[in-house]
Amino acid sequence: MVTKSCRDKMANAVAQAGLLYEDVPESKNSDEHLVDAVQHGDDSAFRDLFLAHRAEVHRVVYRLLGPSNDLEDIIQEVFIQVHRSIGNFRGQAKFSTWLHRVAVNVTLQHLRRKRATIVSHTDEHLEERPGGQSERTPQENAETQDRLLAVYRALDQLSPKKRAVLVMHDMQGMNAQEIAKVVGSPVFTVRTRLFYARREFYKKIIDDPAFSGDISAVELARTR
Amino acid sequence: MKHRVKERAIFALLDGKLESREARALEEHIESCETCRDFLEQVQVTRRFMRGLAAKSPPPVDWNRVDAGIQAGIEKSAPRPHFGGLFLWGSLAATAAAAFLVTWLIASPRGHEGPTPPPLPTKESVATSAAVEREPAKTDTPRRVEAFVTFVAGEVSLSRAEAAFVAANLESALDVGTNIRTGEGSSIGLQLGDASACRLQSESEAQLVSLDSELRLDLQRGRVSCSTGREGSSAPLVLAVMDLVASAEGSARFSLRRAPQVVIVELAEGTLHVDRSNGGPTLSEPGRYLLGRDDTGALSATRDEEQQEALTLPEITMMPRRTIASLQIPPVESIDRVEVDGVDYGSLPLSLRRRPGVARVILFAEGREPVVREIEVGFGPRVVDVASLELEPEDAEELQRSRERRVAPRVGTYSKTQVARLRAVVGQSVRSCYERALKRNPSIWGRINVRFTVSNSGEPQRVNVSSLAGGSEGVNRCIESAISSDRFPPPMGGYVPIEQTITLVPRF
Repeated sequence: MVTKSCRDKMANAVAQAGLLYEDVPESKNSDEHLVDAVQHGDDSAFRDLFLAHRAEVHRVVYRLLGPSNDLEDIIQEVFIQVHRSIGNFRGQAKFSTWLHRVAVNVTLQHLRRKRATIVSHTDEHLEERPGGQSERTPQENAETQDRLLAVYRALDQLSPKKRAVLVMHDMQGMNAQEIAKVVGSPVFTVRTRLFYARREFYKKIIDDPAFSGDISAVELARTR
Repeated sequence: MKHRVKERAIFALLDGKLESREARALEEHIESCETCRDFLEQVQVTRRFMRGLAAKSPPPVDWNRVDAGIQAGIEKSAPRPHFGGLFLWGSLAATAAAAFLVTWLIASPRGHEGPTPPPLPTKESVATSAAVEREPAKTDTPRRVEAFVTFVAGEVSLSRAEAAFVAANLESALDVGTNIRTGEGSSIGLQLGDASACRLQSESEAQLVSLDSELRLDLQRGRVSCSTGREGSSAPLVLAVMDLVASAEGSARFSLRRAPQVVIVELAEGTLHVDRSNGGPTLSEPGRYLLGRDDTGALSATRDEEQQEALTLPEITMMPRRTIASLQIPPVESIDRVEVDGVDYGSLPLSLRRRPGVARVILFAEGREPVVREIEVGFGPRVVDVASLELEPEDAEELQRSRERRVAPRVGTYSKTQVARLRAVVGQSVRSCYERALKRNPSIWGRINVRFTVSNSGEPQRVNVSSLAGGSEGVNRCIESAISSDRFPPPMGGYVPIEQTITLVPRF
C-alpha cells in the first residue's frame, strides 16, 4: 500500500526531475520553435511551453515569494503574462531568461501590492514538505520553520527590487551578471542594490529571535 | 566610539571577491573584533540556511487548477479594443479654423507585432481630420503608441474656438461629454474657457501627463494643482488621466518623450506610486525617472538613461468609451481602513477613480471580521450609500457572533525598539532572581522557558516560567512574580504573546 508520505516522496522526486503530474511534451521542439509557434497563434505550442517550464517558474516564484497561499495564483499570472507579452519577445535573450524575468516581475508586482497591506508569514502557509524534513525531530522542524518564517519576514521588509536580487544571489546562488539579465538592470546597479539589500536584511535577521536563539518564539511580536 | 561593522568587506569575503592579502587582513581584524565576528557568523548561518531552502523543492501545486486558471485568464485578457495612437493635439493657428485637434497618430509596428484590432470608427474620423489639417509630428522613427489616456481634468487654458472644437470632438470621439464640467470639488472635469492656467481639484490620486507640451504638477494630498509650461498662453494642452501613475503624494513634473516612448518623471519630493493597483513600482527618491514598459510587459521605472531603449509603452492602451468610473465612500466612524481590489487605501473617506466594473471593497474595523462588499461601479461618480454597505449584520445570530468577535482580543505587534525594551525588562527580572538564588546556591544553573502575554495596556498576564533543564522552582516562581509586576510598552493593535528561552549560568 502506498502511504501518503510515500506518495509525497514520489511527487517530490518527480517534481525535482521537472516532471510534475504530467509528462513534459514529447515534442522535441526547442523553445525557439515553440515561441515562434505561439507568436503565430498556436495555442498547443503555448501549452507545451507551459508544461516544459512550469516547474522552473514554480521554483522561481516560490523562492521569491516564500510560504504563501498565493503561489498558484502567481504562477497562473506569470503564464498569462507570458501569453500576453510573448509577441514582444524577440529572441534577444534565451526564452528561459525572459521567462525568468516575467516570473520575477509578476512576483514583484504581487509583493508590491501586498506591501500596501499588512504582510506576515505565518505557520498557516507552511506545509509539511515531502521528504525534506522527515528525518528531523519535531523540534528541528519547528526551528527550521521558525527560521524560514524569519527569513521571509525580513525579506518582507525590503523593497521588492532588493528582495529579488538578494534571493537570487544569496539563496539561488546566481551571480550579478545573471541577475542583471533577469532584472534588466546594469550589473553595477545590481551590485549596489545587493549590498544595500544584504545590509538591511542581515541586520533584521540578527535581531530576529529565530536566528539569534535568544527569544525563541516571539514570532507574533512582529516587527513593523 | 562605536565600531562600525565592515559589512562591505565581509560580504566580499564571503563571495570570495577579496584578494588574498585583503582577506588575510580582514580575517585578522575579525579575530580581534567581536562585533564583526558575530556579524560574519550570523551571515554565514543565514546564508547556509537560505542555500538549503533553495535546494528544497517548493510545496506542490495543483497543476490542473493552475492550468485551468491560465486558460481562463487568457480568455479574459483577450485583446481589448485599441486606439491606435497617441493622444496628441494642438492649436491649429495656422489653419483656417484655428481649431483644436485631437490626433491619434497611427504608427508603425515598432513596439508591437501582434494583431491590432481596428480603432474605433470615431477615432479614425478624428485622426483623418487631423491628418489633413496638421503636419505630422517630426520624429526620427515611426512609432506606434497605443495610449491609454483617459480624459480629462482641471481647467485648461483654451480659446473659445478651441473649446468649442474640443467639446464637439471629444464628445463624439471619446464620449466624455458628461465628464466635461467644471466640477466644483470634483476630481474629474474639464473647464473650457479662457483660463490662463490649469487647475485641478482632486484627491491625492491623479495621473496626469502632458501629451504635447510639458506640464508642471504639484501633487499634494487632497489637492492637485498644475500649470502649463507656458502659463498664460492658450497653448494646446491636454491633461490626461493615465492608467500609468496611480497616486502621488508630493511634487512631481511629468513629460512625455516620444521615440522611444517613455514618460519622464521628475520627482521633487514625496512618493509616486506607479500603476499601484497592478503592483507597479513606487518612486520615492527625488530625481528624474524614465517610465515605461519593458519587453515582459511590466511597468518599469529607471533612472538610467541608457536603459530607456528597453522601455516602451506598447501595453498602454486607450481605454474604451465610458471607462472613467469614480467610487466614493463617505467616512464611517467605526471603519479603520478600506481596501479596494486588494489595494489598501487607508481610512475613509475614499475617493477613487478606476475602471468601471465590480469593485471588491473590504472594510476593516477594530474587533470584527472585515466586511467584504462587491460594489458595481459604472461610468461617472458612484457615491456609496453607507447604509448599503450593511455594516451591521441583520440577523440576531450573526449579530451575536459579531459581538463575540468584537470582544475577541486581537494579536498586536511590537516595534523593534519595543522588543529590545521588552527583552531588557525580562532580562533584568530574571537576572535579579537568579543572582539572589546564586547567593544561596553558587552552583545553581538551568535553562528556563518564560512565557507570558502582554495585554493591550502593556500589562503582563498568564506569566509562566518552567525549567527545561536544571534550575529551581524557587527561581522560577521569583521570576514569575518579578515579571508580573513589570510593565511593558503597550503593543500596537492588541495583545502580544511572548516566549523566551533563557540559559542561566553562573559567571565566575
